[in-house]
Amino acid sequence: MFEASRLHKRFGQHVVLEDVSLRFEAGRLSGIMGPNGAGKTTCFNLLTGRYAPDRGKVTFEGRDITGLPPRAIARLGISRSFQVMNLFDDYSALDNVRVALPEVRARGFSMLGAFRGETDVLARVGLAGKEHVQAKSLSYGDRRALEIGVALAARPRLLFLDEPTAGLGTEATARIARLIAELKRSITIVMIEHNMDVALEFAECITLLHFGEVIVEGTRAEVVDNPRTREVYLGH
Amino acid sequence: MLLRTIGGWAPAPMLVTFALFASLPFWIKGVGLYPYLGVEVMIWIIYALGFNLLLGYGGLPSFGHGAFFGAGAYGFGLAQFHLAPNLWLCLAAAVLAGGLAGALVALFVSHRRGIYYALLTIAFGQIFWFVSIKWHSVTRGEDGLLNIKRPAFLDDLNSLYWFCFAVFVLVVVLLWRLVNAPFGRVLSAIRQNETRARFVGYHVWLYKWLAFVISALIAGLAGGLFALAQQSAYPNVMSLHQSGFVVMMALVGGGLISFWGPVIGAALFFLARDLLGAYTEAWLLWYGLLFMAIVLFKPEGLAGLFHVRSKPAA
Repeated sequence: MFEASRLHKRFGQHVVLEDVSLRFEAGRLSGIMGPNGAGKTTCFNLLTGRYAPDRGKVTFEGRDITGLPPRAIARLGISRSFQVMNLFDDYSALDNVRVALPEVRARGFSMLGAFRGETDVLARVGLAGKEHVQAKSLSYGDRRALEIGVALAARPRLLFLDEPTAGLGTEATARIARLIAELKRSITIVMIEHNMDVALEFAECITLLHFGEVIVEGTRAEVVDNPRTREVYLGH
Repeated sequence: MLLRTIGGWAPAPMLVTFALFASLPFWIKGVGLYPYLGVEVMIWIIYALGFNLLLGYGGLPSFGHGAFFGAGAYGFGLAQFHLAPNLWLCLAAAVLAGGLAGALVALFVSHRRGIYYALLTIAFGQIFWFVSIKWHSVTRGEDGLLNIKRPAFLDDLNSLYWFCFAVFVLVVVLLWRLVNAPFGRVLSAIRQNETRARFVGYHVWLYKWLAFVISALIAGLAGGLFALAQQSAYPNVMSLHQSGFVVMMALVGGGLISFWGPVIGAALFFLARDLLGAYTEAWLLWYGLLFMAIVLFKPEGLAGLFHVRSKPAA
């Protein structure tokens, strides 16, 4: 479904990704793991168009999307959430997801029409009853859920989640975990996750990055059993 | 349902504004002022509301917007002198002149934000101002275009007032719709988070460009009305301090939090000019102090005092 081959990215003299190849199959939840500074978010940024790779190729359903801008990639049915919250803070929760609806986007240049669109996304992410609360007034956990909600509102076929449980406590993490469990039944997901428990619980296949390179790849069991995983995470 | 539809097109502050200006000719002399003030205020409200589409809704600080107001004024006069003395043609030329100038400038500024955006717009504003002074054969230099004629049916002040009122109503209703339509809401979303807007599929540059062009079209229309009312067009309207006035109107009134901010700001500006100006020539000093006080103590502007909930963003 989605393939990246031999991606390379450097910022100045600093090589962030080196020869990274990835493949995400439809209907699965794939995880990208790695310690801080491994290049996970840069990898996401290359795959979703925030940066163009210096070398390498990205294809989605057979189509070359290397270097396409984020808006073009989003319109192909690829959506993403962010590790650092990226919401429309002055808008209500409902308007946050409305802006992302494909039918609203299609009428984006309408200058006299109504700004409306029906969606059940807020209920799905556990924000029912908070439709009219400004995004900036929501609790941290609710904002995390809304972050995913905005990505979901675009009705993606492929969803990239960048550390969806970052900064959350146990209870809020469990809530997001339940949401991911529900989402993975209907959407192909690629997830960066720092929380090993969450990543190992959901990811059917995992890629482990370290210093910008893929060092282990495989199923959950294969990655857990690989000595290099222990080396990276436990130092022995 | 009907009430909701009416509310969507004409909310209470709009009706109050229209009622105020519709009744103004009947009471303005009674409070010691004069009806032409109403014409001036309506023209500047049109200008300031168009300007606030950029500043309040797009978060785009265009500090040289006088260029487009001036382009409209010159467009009106030049069309009358060189094409035909037809009101509609001249107004169309004014709108077109403002829009074309805006489209050109927006090509260069729309990929910028913040201070760079502001500086570029100031630079372009200065270029237009300079050209209007130096291109004597077309603009007649510092004297500007004099003896612009009003059509016979607008020759008396009363007719001019009601004509400007009709245009004012049309512009306010259309702009209100625009900021609440998908275009305005997306523009506001871009102001709040440009990155996210890109990642949900919006062509951010195009929205910013288009917002600038619409704002310049409206500035051009206001400039055309100004030329019609003043019967002249001159470089001063393009100067930096004149561009600054519209910024002050939008900010003092509360354009950052309310559609109606520029209405309050423009009305207050002209009232200050005439009421404070009756006592002191240095009225701008006092107005400037008011501006500073608002920036320091009520940065959301006077609209914040009324707890206006019609935020650009909400």
